[in-house]
Amino acid sequence: MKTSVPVEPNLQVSAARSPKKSRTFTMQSITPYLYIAPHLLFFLIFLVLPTGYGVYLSLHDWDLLRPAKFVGLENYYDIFFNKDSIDYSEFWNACWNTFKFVIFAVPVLILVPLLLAIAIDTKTWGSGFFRALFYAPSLLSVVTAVLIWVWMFDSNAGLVNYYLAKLGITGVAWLADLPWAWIALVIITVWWTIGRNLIIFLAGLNDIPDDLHEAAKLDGAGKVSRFLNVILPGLRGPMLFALVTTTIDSFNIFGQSMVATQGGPGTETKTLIMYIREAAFGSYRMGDAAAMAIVMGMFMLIVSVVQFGWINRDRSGRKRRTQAE
Amino acid sequence: MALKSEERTTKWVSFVFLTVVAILWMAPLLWIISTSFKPEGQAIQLPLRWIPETITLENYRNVLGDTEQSPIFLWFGNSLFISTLHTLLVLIVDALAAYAYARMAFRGKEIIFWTLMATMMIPTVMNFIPLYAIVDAIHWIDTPWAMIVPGLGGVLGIFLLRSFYEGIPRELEEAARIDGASSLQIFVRIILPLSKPALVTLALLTFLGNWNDFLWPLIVTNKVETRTLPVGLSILQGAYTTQYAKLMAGTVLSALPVLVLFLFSQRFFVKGVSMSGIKG
Amino acid sequence: MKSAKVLQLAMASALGFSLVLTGCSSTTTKEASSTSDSKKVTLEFWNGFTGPDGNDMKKIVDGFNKQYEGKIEIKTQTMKWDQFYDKIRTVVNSGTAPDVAAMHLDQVPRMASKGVLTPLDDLLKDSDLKKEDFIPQVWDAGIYESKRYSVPLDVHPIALYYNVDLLKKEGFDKPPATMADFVKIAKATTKDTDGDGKIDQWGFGMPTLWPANLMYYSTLRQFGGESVSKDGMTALYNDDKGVKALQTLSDLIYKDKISPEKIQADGEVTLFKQGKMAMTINGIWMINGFKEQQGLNFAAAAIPQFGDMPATWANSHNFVIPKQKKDDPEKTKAAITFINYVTSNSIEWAKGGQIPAKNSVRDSAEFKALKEQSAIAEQVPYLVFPPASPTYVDVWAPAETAINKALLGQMTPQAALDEAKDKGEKAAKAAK
Repeated sequence: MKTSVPVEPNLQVSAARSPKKSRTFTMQSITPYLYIAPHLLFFLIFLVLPTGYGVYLSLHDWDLLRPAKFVGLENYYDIFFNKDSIDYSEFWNACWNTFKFVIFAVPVLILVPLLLAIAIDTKTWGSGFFRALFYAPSLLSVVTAVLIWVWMFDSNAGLVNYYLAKLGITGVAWLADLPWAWIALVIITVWWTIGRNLIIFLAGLNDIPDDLHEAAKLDGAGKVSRFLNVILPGLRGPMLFALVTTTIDSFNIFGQSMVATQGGPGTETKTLIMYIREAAFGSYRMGDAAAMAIVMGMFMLIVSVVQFGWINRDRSGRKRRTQAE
Repeated sequence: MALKSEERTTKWVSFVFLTVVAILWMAPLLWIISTSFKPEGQAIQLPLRWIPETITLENYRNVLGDTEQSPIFLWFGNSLFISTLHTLLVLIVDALAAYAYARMAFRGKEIIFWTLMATMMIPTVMNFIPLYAIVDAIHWIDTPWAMIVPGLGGVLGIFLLRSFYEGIPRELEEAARIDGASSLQIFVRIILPLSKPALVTLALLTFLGNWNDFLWPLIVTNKVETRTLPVGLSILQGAYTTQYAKLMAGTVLSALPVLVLFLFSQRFFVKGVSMSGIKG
Repeated sequence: MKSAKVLQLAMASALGFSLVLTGCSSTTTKEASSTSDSKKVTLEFWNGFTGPDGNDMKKIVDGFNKQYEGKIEIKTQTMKWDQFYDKIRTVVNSGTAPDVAAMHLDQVPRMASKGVLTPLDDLLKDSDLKKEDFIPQVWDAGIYESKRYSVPLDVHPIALYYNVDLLKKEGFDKPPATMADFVKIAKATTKDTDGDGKIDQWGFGMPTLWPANLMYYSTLRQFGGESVSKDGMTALYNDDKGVKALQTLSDLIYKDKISPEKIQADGEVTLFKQGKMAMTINGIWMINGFKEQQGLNFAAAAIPQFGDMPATWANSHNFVIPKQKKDDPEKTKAAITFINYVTSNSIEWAKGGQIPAKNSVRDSAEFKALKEQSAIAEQVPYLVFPPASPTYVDVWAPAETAINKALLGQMTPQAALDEAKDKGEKAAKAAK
């Protein structure tokens, strides 16, 4: 995230020197635009246009069939203030559920791969195999991953309850009861997605110079102190990257609860995307759905900005530290 | 000496820890394979058996045989076609654009580039409803284009490639330019070959993201034959509620190709993902 | 605009339909060929038969395609029902709607009110699809604002399934018909078979999710309650009858203790299949799934009466013709031919676990020979269907969440149903 872009003088210089000044100048000045044009075109049609159109839709009532009706800020008013609107209760319920998932899942999705990465980084036997194995599930599509676990969590014939019973623990209704449904969703997500963070951490650990470890060891630092003073600071960059992307992914949780719990028990695990999709394509309330999507987007934006702020503060902090050394 | 023995303990502790987790990680995969070979009537029988009492291919025959409702190979082919073409197009479009942003000077560059970067912050959820309306308006519903093209407007690739290009020494280009190479020639002959690692990274990230996407294909496909694998599989779930043996046969079939591919290209995946982390 | 189109269709039907529609016997083939000179009509047929029922429908469609080879071809699209209902409206909007579709009865008014469906009155006038040949409740349920929008294919009620061996072991040779009998049998069959102090065989399984909502609907009606007002805007399920109905179901778990607590989706089906549960209530469509289970000796019966009068929830698959951007009389004509064919040949459909809506098929010896189906069909006189209102689904859906919460013991029936009423009525307002 550099803030300055190095200016490339060569092109202009060569253009100025060219004998056929004006014509070459035009060619040269068009060239960059030709490079960026294809992307820019798609960017405008499929990113800028929808963003604007989304705002437009959010100010209308539209059921896909009848023409859209302008309602001003009513859709937003319904979400935030109108206690008589269905979205008032359901949107905030879904919002709270999604926040819960983010809060439960993100720490686990950071910690588990961190521990695994440290263990693999000891270059123990078969570490290549372990790395591959833990990464493999993230190649599966969400439906595949979740279906596997729906079968694992089956309360009467599933593997999980079967072995719990062998240990003398009475099984629970993993997908039908709280808090188990959330725990199940987190377990599924951990199994499915830790691969990426694991590999990012491994790469980060690789970048920590060996002499730092050695020096700490010679200083007589114990394992815990080495973890706190060498590994954690060394991993700060990858860690924050993992944190930001994992948080965004967790906000977007959809497939897991859609396939595993269908939002239940009750509507306790119905997430924002589930509810917005339902409003749009189940009840054909495109305007309401667009407004809710924008509100949700704003929440995510705020969280991202806070986290990015962290990164930047951290980067400048690190720079200062390096200079001091 | 003390260090050595300590290292040994660390290695052992790590190994035991990893083995335990590995068993937990493998169990679901082995279990679905086992289930998929059991006759439906035995799948839920207690006590559970890892090795099926009777081994049958009936479930696979069932799932594969029903080509009208669950054409798994067709879905697989759709996914493969869509993700491959999408990835290819992303690479071309982004590699070109990123080069301009990294190396060329032109009017409005700063503004355009930072506008692009700013949109990276826009959560994708905000767009899927209006995007649906747009895709519908140009009659792309139920065509592969709905899943191939809209993603080409993304900016992550530009960001990744641009920062990679900036790390390539300029001298190489200077030399070529003095030899009279055109900008496109320089790009194709010098920049592209040097950016292979970054391109592979981007390709893998793009491919996987597209391959595993569920929400968008679910919205823009209606017909059995236009579905992608994840969406198709979610139909199987409806088709085989309480018929776990058949459902797991379908699940195994959907998982197998990717896992086999991974076995052979593991190193690239790992490299690619770790690079994306550092660059970010 | 609308009426002009209807008129057009009526004219077309008067001109040519009658010939084709007079029957589906072998003579039809000839007549069909003479009216549509060698131009083949291809119809897209959408449905949600993703389960084993998809294969049954495929058999019937294949039979149709064979009989009408060269004239009409049906191309089937199958998707999950919830996806189907989400999609159907969007495709009507974009002008790519299927030519014919199957739909649940309770969705018909909702879709009709949104302009998704074509009225069928004029198209059916000359066909032999007539009220006299159908179960009257179902036939009438296809009418919305005095126009007919659908033709019923089947009815599918819920039923009681019981494990013959487990009942016999306790000395019962008949399934229960009353609440008292039901609890008695269930208590006798709920026990700890291996003596470890934990109950491992259950008399009944009260699901917390689907189909608990179907059982609740039946019980509600048995107590004389109503689900949703006629106009579809007011929830009635939270009155004392509704609360009593939900309390009755909840008592099976927490008071009578004849059902395990907190059953997960389809958990009771698994237990019943495993032979660890004596009775379960589920849809008629489960018959073949139970037959597939090794070592399960089961039978089907009418559900026991929990309330003051008999009433059993049922729904029905109906044929509809989605609205097209441009009407093609050839296609609508062919669609009616297809609908007529399938309803007349619904015995194949019945084998998969359905009751034909057509009386002639239901009275046939072939249907009577289907042991479980015909036992369940005894409930036909008192089947209750969801009311015909476009917003019924919106008002009712939160009740299903309420049932879930109450049966999980998270809320009292009254509180849960009150909450549902509030949500449902808001949703109905938003949908309108």
